[in-house]
Amino acid sequence: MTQGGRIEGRLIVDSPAPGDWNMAVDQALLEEVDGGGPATLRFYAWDEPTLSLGYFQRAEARSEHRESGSAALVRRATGGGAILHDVELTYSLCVPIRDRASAEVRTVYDSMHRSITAALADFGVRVQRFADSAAPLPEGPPGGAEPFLCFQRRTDEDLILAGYKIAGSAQRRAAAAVLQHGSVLLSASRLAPQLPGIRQLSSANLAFDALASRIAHHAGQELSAVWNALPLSARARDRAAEIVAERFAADSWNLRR
Amino acid sequence: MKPEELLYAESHEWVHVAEEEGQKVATVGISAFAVEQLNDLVYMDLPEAGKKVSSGEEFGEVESVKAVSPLYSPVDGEIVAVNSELPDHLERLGEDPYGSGWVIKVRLDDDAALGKLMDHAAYQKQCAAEG
Repeated sequence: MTQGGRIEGRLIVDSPAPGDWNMAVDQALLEEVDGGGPATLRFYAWDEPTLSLGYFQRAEARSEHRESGSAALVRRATGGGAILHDVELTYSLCVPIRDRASAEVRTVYDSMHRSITAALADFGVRVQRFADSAAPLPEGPPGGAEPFLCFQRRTDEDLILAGYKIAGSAQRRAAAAVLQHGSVLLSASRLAPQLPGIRQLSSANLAFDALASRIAHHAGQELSAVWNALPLSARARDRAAEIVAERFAADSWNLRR
Repeated sequence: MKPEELLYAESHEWVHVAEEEGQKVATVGISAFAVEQLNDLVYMDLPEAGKKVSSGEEFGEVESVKAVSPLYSPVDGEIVAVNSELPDHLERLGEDPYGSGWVIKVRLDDDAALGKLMDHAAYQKQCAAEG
């Protein structure tokens, strides 16, 4: 559906929830959009500190970050490194695509990160893409391996504040839709004290709802979308409950590698 | 194998069909265009031989630049061989996508799915429209 040349999308702002539920809702939304549903932007938080592993990471690599050893664990369906989700704003964006190998899929990173950059600027917080910043590449493990934590890795699109990464995103592509989710680090977690958040790096103490609202505003402009604020549909909720049981609450998924 | 002699799925897998011991076996790989577009592949998950696959069904996954993408089977049949060295040598996908970068071999149940595949010229048009 379009309205004045802009697509009509769904906007979902969720209450804090467990990691398996959060990941299952994103998967249910990806399936809906892959099946022809409207573009969906969702904001959410976590009801307890949770370590999410990137899809291809080994569960045993958790021992590389002892501070988060007590955190709940979930494996994401998206790539990249592990994230300790605590005082953060998490988003997911599911949009239809023509082809998972087309260049347009990669532009979704840029669109969302431009939206986050503009939203943070609304609160006086100036961030830069890593590729445009003078921030050095953090030192990784010996042998050239990627660091375990996503926020210690760098890609061009990552958002940098005072030399530190404060936002990053990852994708899962399906045949006709892409799920991109990402984290904005509002404040450091006691379970990942080496990763400062926006609160430590600036004087800003950002509220989740206010930041989500500004990101949605800018994402609407970036994606030419009009957002209709809606709760999760009963059908998506039922599907998410199935996905929790068969995947994100199961050791066969979380400990599969 | 020459790219001009292969068949292609919309989802960018290539197919080469040969007769082996009286049965049709399809070698399946990922096109050079898709490898280039997916950009900087870092991980790959492949199935075990013996698995049945249907056309359009996921049979493996790759990760590139934090994006996980499925691989879709372009044919119906049973996987009879897997290029198990490939996940540790992903550079072969870029260097030799139609040779040592092959991914799986599938013993075909029938030819039905082959009719939905494109020849090289048609596939080139699809890529040009997406590039």
